[in-house]
Amino acid sequence: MASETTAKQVGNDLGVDLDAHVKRIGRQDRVATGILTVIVAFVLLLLASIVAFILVKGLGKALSPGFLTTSPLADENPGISSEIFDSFYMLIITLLISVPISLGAAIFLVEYAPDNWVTKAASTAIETLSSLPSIVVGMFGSLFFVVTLGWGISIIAGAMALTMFNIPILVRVIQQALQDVPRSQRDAALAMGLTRWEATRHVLLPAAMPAIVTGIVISAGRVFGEAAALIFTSGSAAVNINFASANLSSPRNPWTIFRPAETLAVHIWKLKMEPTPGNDEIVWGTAAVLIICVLLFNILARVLGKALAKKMTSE
Amino acid sequence: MTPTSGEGSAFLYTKDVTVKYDYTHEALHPTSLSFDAGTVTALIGPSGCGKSTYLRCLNLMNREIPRCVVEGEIHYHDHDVNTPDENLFELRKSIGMVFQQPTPFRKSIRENILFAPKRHGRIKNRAGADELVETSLRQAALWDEVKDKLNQSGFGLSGGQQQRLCIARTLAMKPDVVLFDEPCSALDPISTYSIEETIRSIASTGICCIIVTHNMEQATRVSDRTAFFYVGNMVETGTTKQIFSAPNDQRLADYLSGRFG
Repeated sequence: MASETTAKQVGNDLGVDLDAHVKRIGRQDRVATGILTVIVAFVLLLLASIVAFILVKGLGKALSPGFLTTSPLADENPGISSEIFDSFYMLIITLLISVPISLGAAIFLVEYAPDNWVTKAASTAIETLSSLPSIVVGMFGSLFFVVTLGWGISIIAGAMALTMFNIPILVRVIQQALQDVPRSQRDAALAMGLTRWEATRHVLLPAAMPAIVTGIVISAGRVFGEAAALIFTSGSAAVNINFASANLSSPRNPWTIFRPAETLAVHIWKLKMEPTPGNDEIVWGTAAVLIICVLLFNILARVLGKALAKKMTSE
Repeated sequence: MTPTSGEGSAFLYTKDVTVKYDYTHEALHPTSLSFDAGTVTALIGPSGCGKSTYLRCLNLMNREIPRCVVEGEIHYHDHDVNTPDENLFELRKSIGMVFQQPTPFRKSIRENILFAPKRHGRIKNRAGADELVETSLRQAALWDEVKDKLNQSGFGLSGGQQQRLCIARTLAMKPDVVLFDEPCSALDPISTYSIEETIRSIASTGICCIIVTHNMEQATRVSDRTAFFYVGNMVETGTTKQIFSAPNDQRLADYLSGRFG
């Protein structure tokens, strides 16, 4: 009570109605909290309804017997076995190429790059690359990898296009992960007579590893769902993969990287382009499989990141 | 100018060292100081006076800061190390450093100690490694607290223990100089006391200790000699007793009586 009277007195002395002021800012706070909650709820609802819609439409087909294991070229009840294999195979090859390059680029930019115009130009180039429309990356891939280098419509051409699309994202997350390691860790290593490379390799990278792994897996989710960059590079023709094939030059051998491939996302696009009875069902089924995979990537990213962090701090 | 040493031979001294940040801003004006083996020297002064900047000259850590220039001579074991072709990786093996914030690596306690000696190829066998871990931790007065959990992460220790782990890690390099950059400013009084004890005992083994501190009581408790820095100048140096009981410079006298800082 005492403090209330004093506050009132102070307000009177200043010629301000403090009670009204307190009421007003209290109201503003409640309104702001309410609006922000509504916005977040809207975003959540949007995401949940998209996922729910696709699952409702497609889960039945996705879980129907043989859908995941039958070739898309089967005469009766075609499935998406080749697409699933191609999607994962393309992703692995893309990561094999893009992770080492991005890791090197990010380490250079954070640890070694002199603060000059070349470094700034490199950073700007990476940022620009990240905002290139993926269809344009696909066009470039088609002209350069497919035609000029003569690789043809192939997994490797697709993986290179995806690499160009993936590198900027990866460089950014790895850069951030390295910058988040306290500078004192690096200084401590250097002060013990270690070289910059030793400090990076044995102190910074282990400390940044949980965040790096999380970033890689999340980027994998984006690569997994990419379609536009692949249409002109790895093609949109369903491939009749023969897992028994041992001939590496055969386009039906699953492991050869110089054969065309069709990923799940491209499959959806292509089936929608050629409306045939029964296609819509397959499209929804494929979409359900795709979205489940991407969700799994995101969950995996969290679990892996947490597990790694726990293993290294081991408190 | 000859090095103004207390007693004995100065094996580490600087002659007119200056530090410029951004190539032009002189943060440390010409400073000459000398340090003896087996003694503790405290560098005191208000924030931004250049004492940490000076400390980081001694193991050439300022070279890690972009656009920072260190000029003047830094003599260590009879040669000037402030030259472009000085092997700073070798230098830092014998001039260790302990930082303001405890900086254990994300490794086990044991690996924190062994990491640098291993990288430098000094660990020959398991027995040698065990012995180095034990002696280093004993020197830093941490052995009894951690001997049963050497394989646990250094991050699980308290702040004071982490800082003593960093000291142990530095001692495992067998340095003859250890630089302390406000090693207790993030610690509670009990941990601070134990770190001060550790610094005294390290010095008693013949290692030259140099400590930057904000805390004037700490300087009186721990050091043999003291140097007072003010706005980028080394204003006065002498035995700790003389500095605190009979300061010559008016700025030092004002600082000691709490008129600024």
